[in-house]
Amino acid sequence: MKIMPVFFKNMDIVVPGDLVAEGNYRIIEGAYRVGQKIFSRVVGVIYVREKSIKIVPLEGNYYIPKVGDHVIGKIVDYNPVSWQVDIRAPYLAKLDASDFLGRPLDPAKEDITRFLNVGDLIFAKVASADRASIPTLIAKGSNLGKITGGKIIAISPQKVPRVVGRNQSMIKLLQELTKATIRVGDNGLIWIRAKNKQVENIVVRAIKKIERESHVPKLTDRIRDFITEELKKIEGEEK
Amino acid sequence: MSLKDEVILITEDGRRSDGRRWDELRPLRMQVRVLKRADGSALVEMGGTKVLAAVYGPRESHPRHLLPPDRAILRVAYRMATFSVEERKKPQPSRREIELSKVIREALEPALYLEEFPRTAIDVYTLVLQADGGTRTASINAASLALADAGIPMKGLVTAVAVGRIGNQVIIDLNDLEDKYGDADMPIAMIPATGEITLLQMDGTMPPDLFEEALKLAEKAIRIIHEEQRRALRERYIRIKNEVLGVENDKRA
Repeated sequence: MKIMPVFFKNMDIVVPGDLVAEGNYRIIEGAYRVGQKIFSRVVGVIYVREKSIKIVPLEGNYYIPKVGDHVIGKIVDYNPVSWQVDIRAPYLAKLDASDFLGRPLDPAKEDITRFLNVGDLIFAKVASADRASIPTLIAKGSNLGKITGGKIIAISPQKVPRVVGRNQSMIKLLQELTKATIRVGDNGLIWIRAKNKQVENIVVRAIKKIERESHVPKLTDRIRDFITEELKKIEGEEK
Repeated sequence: MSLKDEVILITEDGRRSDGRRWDELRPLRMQVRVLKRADGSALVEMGGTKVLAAVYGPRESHPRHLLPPDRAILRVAYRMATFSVEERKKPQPSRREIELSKVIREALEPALYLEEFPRTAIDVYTLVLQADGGTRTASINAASLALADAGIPMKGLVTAVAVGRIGNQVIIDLNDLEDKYGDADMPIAMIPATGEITLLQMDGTMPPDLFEEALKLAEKAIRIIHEEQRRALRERYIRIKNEVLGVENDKRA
């Protein structure tokens, strides 16, 4: 077998242009290949497996919509039959009235703003997104629709996978410990509802901690300790 | 006797006006994420030259029909602060600033995967806070750091430096005096990862043999500057890591 050298340790920080490895590794993301040489293309954390290389980006405050993504969007404009939605992408998305109501809307009889008006927030799914046309959304179905109550925070869209965790482990941990309802949009907006403001704030701080420390090992353990400790503090105050 | 003959740029024993040897760079200082509102930012100092760079995007831009349907456009604005030079610079963008914006854009473009963001714009602003020669090269160094800091996928960082000539002596990283009174000034930008040269300009004259020598010298210097860029990008994360793991941080920075 040929030697396939890797020039970085697992979980090292790499920057664009770093020669990370040589050989027939499969590139999962964050790298490009020139012949046998594999270079990083982002500032990120490198994960090396036996046959594959992945560089998880640490930077990037942009969101490029993909079909099937769940996003949180804000209505910014409307016309008689559809809404324009800000989903933090470089393009505004379109939501047809029928894709929110589940039935056709007759603009002559009904005013579209009765259902959603400018400033309203929605959970939606990306129905189409390609290079040629503007993205479209669907907001009808389970867990989709208008958002009422709770709190929304924004993180870098690149960090969403870390907040969700492998097999949703991180988000489940957060929900179990705080009993809060948390819904993470792939565009980096996160909706939180907890039993009171203090708990909500703990969730917010925990998510910000995940965002900041995502490149440091043993993240889950630290988050568990952090939440447990903070919850104890507010219990103490209540007594 | 012209003023040019009166300025001594390099002494008999090989010291330049600021005390450097021919192949010595000015002190470097680089830091990323210096602006909170920008998506990516960097501050670069090469001796007396200080440049701030900010990157926004990929973001939408209007009018939309001016955006190509298959890739992002890169917009670069190079500006000098009114206080960056001895005599106040008029704030209106000069011919020189517009031209430098263009060459900096063309030096950065080959490193970027612009085709991944169709119908968007990436804005790069570089502002020279203090000018002491080599502002375009410092701007390229700062802009490429800011782009990486903004998470824009790149083939590699772009690194730039100027080489020049005083008589028969090749010199690196020219300061203002050497730029003005030297015999040649040749700014060079490279993508060290691929070895591509993305900018090469020259003022003055350079014999072919010295040109070869100058190019080699520039490549060597670019490796050093590139290493400093890498350090600046990684530093932020290593600091957070050390802090979390309870390791003492390097106080130097």
